[in-house]
Amino acid sequence: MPTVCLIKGNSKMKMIEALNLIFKYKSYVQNQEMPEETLVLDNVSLSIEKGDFVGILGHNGSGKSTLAKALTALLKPSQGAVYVKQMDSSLEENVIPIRRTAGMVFQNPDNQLVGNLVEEDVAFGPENLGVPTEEIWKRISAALEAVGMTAYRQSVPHSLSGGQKQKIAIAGILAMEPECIVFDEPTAMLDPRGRKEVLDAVHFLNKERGITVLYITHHMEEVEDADWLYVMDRGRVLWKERPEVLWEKEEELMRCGIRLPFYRDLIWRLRKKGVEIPKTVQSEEALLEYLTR
Amino acid sequence: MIRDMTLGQYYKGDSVIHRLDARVKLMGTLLFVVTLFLPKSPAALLSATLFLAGVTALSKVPLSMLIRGVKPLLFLIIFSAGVNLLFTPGETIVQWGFLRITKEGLRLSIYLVIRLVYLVVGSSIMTFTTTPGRLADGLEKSLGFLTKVRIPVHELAMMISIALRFIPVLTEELDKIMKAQMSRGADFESGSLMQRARQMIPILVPLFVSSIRRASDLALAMDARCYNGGIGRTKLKPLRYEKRDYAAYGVLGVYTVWMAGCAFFLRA
Amino acid sequence: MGLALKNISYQYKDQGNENKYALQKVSFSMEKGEYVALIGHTGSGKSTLTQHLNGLLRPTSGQYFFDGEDVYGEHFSMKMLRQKVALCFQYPEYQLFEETVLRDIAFGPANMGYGKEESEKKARDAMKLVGLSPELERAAPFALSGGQKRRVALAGILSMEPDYLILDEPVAGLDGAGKEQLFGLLEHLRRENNLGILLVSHDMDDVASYADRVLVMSEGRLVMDGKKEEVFSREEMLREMGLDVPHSVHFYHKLREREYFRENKDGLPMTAEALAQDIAEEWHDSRHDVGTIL
Repeated sequence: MPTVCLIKGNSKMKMIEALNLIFKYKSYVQNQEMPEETLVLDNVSLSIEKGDFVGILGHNGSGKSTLAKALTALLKPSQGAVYVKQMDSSLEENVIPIRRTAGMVFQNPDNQLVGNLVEEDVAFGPENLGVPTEEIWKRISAALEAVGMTAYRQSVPHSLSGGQKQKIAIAGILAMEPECIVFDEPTAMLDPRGRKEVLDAVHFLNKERGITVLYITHHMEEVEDADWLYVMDRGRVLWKERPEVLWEKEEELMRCGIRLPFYRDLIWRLRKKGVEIPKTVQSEEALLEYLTR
Repeated sequence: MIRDMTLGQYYKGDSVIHRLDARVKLMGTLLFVVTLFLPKSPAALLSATLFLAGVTALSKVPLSMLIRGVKPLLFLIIFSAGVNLLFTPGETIVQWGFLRITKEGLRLSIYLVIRLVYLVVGSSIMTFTTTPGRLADGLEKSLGFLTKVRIPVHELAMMISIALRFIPVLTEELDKIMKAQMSRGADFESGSLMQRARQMIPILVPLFVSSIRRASDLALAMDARCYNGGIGRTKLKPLRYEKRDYAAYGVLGVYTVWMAGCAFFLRA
Repeated sequence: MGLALKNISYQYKDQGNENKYALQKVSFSMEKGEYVALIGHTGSGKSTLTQHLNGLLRPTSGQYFFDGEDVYGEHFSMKMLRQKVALCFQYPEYQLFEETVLRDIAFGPANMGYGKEESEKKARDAMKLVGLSPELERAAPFALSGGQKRRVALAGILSMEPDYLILDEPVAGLDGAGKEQLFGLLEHLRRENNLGILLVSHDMDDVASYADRVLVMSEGRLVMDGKKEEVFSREEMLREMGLDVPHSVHFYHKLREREYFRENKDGLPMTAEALAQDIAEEWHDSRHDVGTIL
């Protein structure tokens, strides 16, 4: 395991760092001899600090999923470097340590559960890591408790709702005791109830367990209270901003295929109609307060 | 049809048979099947019947479940019995034109039906009382020696376990695709055999594409959870022999010797 | 005329072999050109209902009339029903199977008995309708992007030239821009082709923005059927069924509670724009003097 290394003048530690990532792939198109090269990530740099909740926004095909895979050592970038807790992902011996440090939860709840029983599924990660049997049992209990799924321990994954399956997937990652979890559109296939369950679990892990969260989505209201937001478009990072700063760029965001959270959209429309709203109004409650004061 | 498949289904319970080590059950099923196909004698058949009845009673799996397991294979069983019945040379009992039933044919087909039914019931008892995960573990551990001759035993066991996990998912998907194509006017119920085969394309292609997509998603998810093959892996539920397992091996040993004896000394 | 369900009930056996009702005495009717939304949380019977409308399921009891004809009568053609009342499943791109886009879209008409040329002509018309360029005719469906695949799938349904279109979560998985394009297309189809649209959705903002009438299902029963303004005015009742109201309605109700509006407005604001309009009018009328506060 690498040693923890604090950066001078900054008490926070870097969890993930990406430097000038480029990712391209070649594909053969019908009736064409030369492969076509597609640039998915174009010089992406980012840095995520321990304990942060970071949102990555972007329309479909903007490269956010590829970025997520590069950050968790599931894909090797064509150029550039990724460091997870100072570990260089291009070195083969770092791949497993990186994956256990930065876990990943995917979009489709069905396609990431391996076990035939909930407890067997949660055990999959620790089994792969060679964790002793007694310790695995402890981790299952802790992980299922953290996502509120203890009662479903003996259930068959197929009998659960989408939101529940997604929470089992989260528990499966938690059982590896990661320090960071990357969520790749975890609510895209869920109904509103499932979406809320999963979001609550994600926030709980970030706030109460201090797990660094990287949350990819095109639903802006899911990352309203993030520490930082990155906006991606055509493989590039357009902005890295605090949410309150980013919300002021309504028109540019819309051009990237991103829709504003409801109250931000409302503020934008009100301003256009000559209702002045001060910049300090930063939530739905504050807007209500301001209008009716 | 796929809904009737009970093979690979687990019947929740806590009987002695459920609690036996998966390796014992695998070995037991293997020995049961092998001895079933040793040279036939009424005594051997009777012993097999008693043994199977005993195990079934101990497992507490309802008879109706076992019968449901035989159903999908009924056609195959009747077909092979029919072939034996009609095409075995020997002493003729009945004759219509070129079709004739011989004494030997009759006996052969009766034995065949009983053996095939016992084979299905015997192996279903194993799958009914063992979770797919345990079964895969059992296979992996008892066939572990094959790794030395470069047979990827762990990988095969993992594949079986994953296949079982995805059976309900794909069944549901199949149902959805069929409905979607039916609402586009597809008709799966009429036409000649050839036409019907063609009509399966709109179902099979999407099902295949979706399975590939799921497989690639799952592979990535397994990578993300640090899957790295069987080396260095620990187990949530490691297989460990208990006293009852040794006792069961004892019973199995006696049964096998008895059956072998029947086959060689009591030959009809 | 139109679709009319009368007391449709559908019973099934659950895992414990007990009889359960997925639908209980559901009655409603709709006409061509209507834009109706069907809401209710997962398991409330929405998809069972839509499968009845398309003839994929037969009810345990009840009647269904299509343009006055008894759907469960002896001489009624189910094939015709499936053509006229088309059903677009969630993630319809998962049903694509042909080698080329054109052939996939022509699958429906061909099943309806049209010849190759006629089917392909209908397919081309449908491609134009959903905004797919003719160059894509020969492309393999699997090589397209997610949004394009969804259009191909939708064209494959529209090529049957239905009178009614039932869509189950048609924008699931699409991003903001893709979503608006698809809803724009539906609106166009309704206006130009007088298509009756039944939208099944979990997103109340979408329902309020695009539909006119809302059906609410809960535990297999149709519990509300009315204009969207009426249905969404019952916030309490919807919440009890685990359903939300549109953001604009929720915010409007909060403003009302705090007596922001001096007099009652005529209708509920269904979109952020309508709400902003209401707020701005009130704001300017009451001449709030913002300047001094800032």
